[in-house]
Amino acid sequence: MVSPILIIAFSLFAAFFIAFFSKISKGIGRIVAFITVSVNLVISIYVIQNAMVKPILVFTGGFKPPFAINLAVDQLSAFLVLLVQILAFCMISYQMGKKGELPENKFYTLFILNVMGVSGMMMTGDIFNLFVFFEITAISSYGLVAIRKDKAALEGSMKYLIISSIGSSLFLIAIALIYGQLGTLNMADIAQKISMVNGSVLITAFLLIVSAFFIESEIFPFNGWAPDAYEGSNDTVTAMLSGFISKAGLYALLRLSFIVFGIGIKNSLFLTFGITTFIIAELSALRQTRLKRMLAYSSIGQMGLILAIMGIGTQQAVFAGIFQIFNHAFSKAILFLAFGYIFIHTGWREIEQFRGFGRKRPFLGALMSIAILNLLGFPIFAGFWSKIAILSEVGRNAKFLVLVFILFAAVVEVYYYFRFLKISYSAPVDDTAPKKTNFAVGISLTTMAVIVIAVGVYPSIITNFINSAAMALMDKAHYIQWVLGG
Amino acid sequence: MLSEIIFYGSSVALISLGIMIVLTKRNLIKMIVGLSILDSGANLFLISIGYINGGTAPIMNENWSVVVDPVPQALVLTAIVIGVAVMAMALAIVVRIYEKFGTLDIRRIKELKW
Repeated sequence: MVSPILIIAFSLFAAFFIAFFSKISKGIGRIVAFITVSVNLVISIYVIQNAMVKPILVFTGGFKPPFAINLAVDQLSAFLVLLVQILAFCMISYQMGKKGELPENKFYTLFILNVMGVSGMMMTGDIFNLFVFFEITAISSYGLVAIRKDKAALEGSMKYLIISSIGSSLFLIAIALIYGQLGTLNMADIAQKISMVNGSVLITAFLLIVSAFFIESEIFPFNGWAPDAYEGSNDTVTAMLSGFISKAGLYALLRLSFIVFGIGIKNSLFLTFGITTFIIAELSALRQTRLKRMLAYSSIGQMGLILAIMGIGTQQAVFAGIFQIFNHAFSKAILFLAFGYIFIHTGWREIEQFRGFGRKRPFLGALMSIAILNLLGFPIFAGFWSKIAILSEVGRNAKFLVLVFILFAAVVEVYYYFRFLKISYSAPVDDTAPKKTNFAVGISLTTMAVIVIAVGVYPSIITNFINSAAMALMDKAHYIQWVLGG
Repeated sequence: MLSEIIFYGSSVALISLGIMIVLTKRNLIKMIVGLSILDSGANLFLISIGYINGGTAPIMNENWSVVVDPVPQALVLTAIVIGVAVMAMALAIVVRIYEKFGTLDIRRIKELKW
């Protein structure tokens, strides 16, 4: 039996190990980081195997919940933690392959701390612990965004810091309100006693939590920081922001609103804000001339789509949302990493500069096309199944206005992505000599592309996990029972 | 009763003041001061929740009768440490911004704009 707490303990040890020994050896960061991420990946595979049979409860100090701080890993947490570790593994491989100019050991320290914070947010069963992990994730992300120390990076990081700090203070106030009413911090215990909370306090606390995590998961109108932080940050960091940092915020929002609060207002709230974000972000992406900013807006739009589909609130809808989280994380990781690699070698920023790029560098061009087609939901890619699930579930619940909005924004999305593909496969005009892709970078990007296609051809290898995850998110009584009764 | 009004009233005042400063000031240092005030307000709110009038520190001995709730105090200690970390990070970034841009006025820091 491998305990999920090892992911946190091992990552913390490795992060401070790198920081401590970075003066002695320059190359220590990449080795330790690679080992840590591989070990985390193995642990999380064990964890999901165990969690599929029976949710894992880990508590410290010899007291049982609700008194002890606990980790409560159910199928949803285990699935998302595994997703984070796979992405982190691919990103570390990518980072090792490219020769970067950033301070390496500092980068790896922050990277491991960030992965630890995100995994912790997804596994914890204690609301104050959630706050602590949230802050670890946020502070390390500020550092990661600013790590290149040029003008754009600093500006993006500062905007992110100011907005996100307000969000975390709001979350702290919400925790104080809940604690003042119930005298407990355990999420299952709060969920059990939530009907004892005064109605107006409950709504206030819920809205504070919603604003705090809307900021982190880039939902309009709380997402002013997101495009700037994306554009200012380094390639791997952008992939992290899009791949799992925003997903961690979304996970916390879903866990708190579905399991802990469970009030009906969340559905219309999520639907409204999600659809608004999806449409506004896709329309903003349409008018971008810089590729990275276009991808950033597309990323925000996808977060809106996921939130909107969660707002429908049936189990099938939650299934579709989690599937879309999976697809979006992999697609955007490929796109941002491939873009970053090209940017380092050529300095291309504008979409027009990519004219003919797909012909000159067929390998990276193919990978980017796979990621784009997956995101748009073409058959044989995993995105097809999640798009089908989303549309059929919206249709089944007779939300035709929502269906119209989703289709409209999806058409906009298809338009600007195809405009990019058309430019990148048109006749080459720029004749900078094509360079070979680094081996580690190629392996890392290909792994993600293979996962996406494999799931697209055999969706049954993953639907089982997502189904249990959706069931875990919907079943409040079961969560309370296994945390407090076990 | 009076002490409760003072505690809750001043924490709400600090929170509103902090948010107002962050939203209206144009100088990065002043905005960070605002964040700090907001943080203090949230901490004061958290600690007032565990406060009982006339209560003593929660240490077990023979003559204790009314004690305050120890959990918010533990939480506030953690929250203060986190707040200090955020302040340090923010000020470090501000120092770098001043080196690169030569100004702290957010109206003149416009590298990223669409």
